[in-house]
Amino acid sequence: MKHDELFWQRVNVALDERRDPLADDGVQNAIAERPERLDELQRLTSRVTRLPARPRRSRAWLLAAALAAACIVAALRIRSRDDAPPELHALASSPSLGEVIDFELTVTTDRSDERSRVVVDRHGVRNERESSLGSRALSTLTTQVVRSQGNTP
Amino acid sequence: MSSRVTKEPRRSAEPLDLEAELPALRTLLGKLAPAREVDDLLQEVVARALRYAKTFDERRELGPWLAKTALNVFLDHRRRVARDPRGEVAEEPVAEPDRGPEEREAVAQLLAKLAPVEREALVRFHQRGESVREIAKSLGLPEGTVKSHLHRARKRLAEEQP
Repeated sequence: MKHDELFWQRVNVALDERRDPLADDGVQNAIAERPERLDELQRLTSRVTRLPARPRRSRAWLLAAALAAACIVAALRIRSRDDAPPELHALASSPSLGEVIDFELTVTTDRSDERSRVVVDRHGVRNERESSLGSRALSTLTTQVVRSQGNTP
Repeated sequence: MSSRVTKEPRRSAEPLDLEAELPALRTLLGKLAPAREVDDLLQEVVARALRYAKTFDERRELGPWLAKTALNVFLDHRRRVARDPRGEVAEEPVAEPDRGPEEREAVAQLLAKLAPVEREALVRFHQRGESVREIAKSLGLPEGTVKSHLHRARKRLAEEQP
C-alpha cells in the first residue's frame, strides 16, 4: 500500500513536470517490482489523452433548464387549448392573473474561459456562447404581464 | 566469527537463469511495444542482461532487475526511433488497441464521477496544456491544492472502471 502511494507520487511528480513517468527511476523500480503497475500507468496515460476538450455539462443543470422550459410551454398550451379541463383553462385565463404576453428563460453557465447561455422564449430554445471568466451558473426568468383591462377597477 | 552483511554484490560464476524470466519479460514488452518489435526487444534485453550480469546482486530477485532492464531497453529503443526520422515505427502507438469513441465515452463517464474542481484541473492541465500555476491563479487556489486535486483525479482515472 505504502509502495503504491510512493509509485503514484512519483508518477504525479513526473506528470506535473510534463516528464515521461516511465523514464523516472522510482517509477521504473515500482513497475519492476510489480509489473501490474504498468497497466495502471498505461490506463492513466491512455485516458488522459482522451479527455474531452470541454467537460460534459452537469445533468442537473440540463434537467433544470428543461424543466423550466417545459413548465412555461405547458402553461401556454393550456391557455390556448379549447379542450383543456375547465378549471385549468379558467386558471390560466383568469383575468386576475393577467396575461403573459412574452417570456424569456435564460440559463447562464460561466466556465473558466467561456460563458454559455441557453435562452428559452416563445420562439424556441437557442444556445449562445461567449468568452468570460469565473465559474458560476445563473438562471433568470423574465415575463411581461399585462393586467386584463376588464379587471381594472 | 560472526558473519557480516557486506554491501558488495555477491559475484557468482553461475550464469543468470534467464530462461524462466522470459515469459514475464515478453508480457511486459508486449504492453509497451507493438507485437512485431517484441522479439527484437527481448533479444536486446537478454544481451544487455548478460553484458551486465556481473553487476547483478544475487541477494536480490532476478525478475525485477530484468524488468527494469527491459524498461530501459524499451526507452532507449523509443528514443532511437524518435531520433531517426526514417524509423518506420516512429509514430506507431503502443500495443494497446485504440477503441476510439468507445474509450472516449468511458473517459467522459469517469470524468463525470470526479468532483468539479478535480475535473476542471485535469482537463485544463492535460487537455489544454495549462500549467499548475495558471490553473491555480485562474481558480483562485494555492498551487499545492491544485496539485492535490490533479493527483486525486489521476489516481481515480487510472483505477476506476467506467
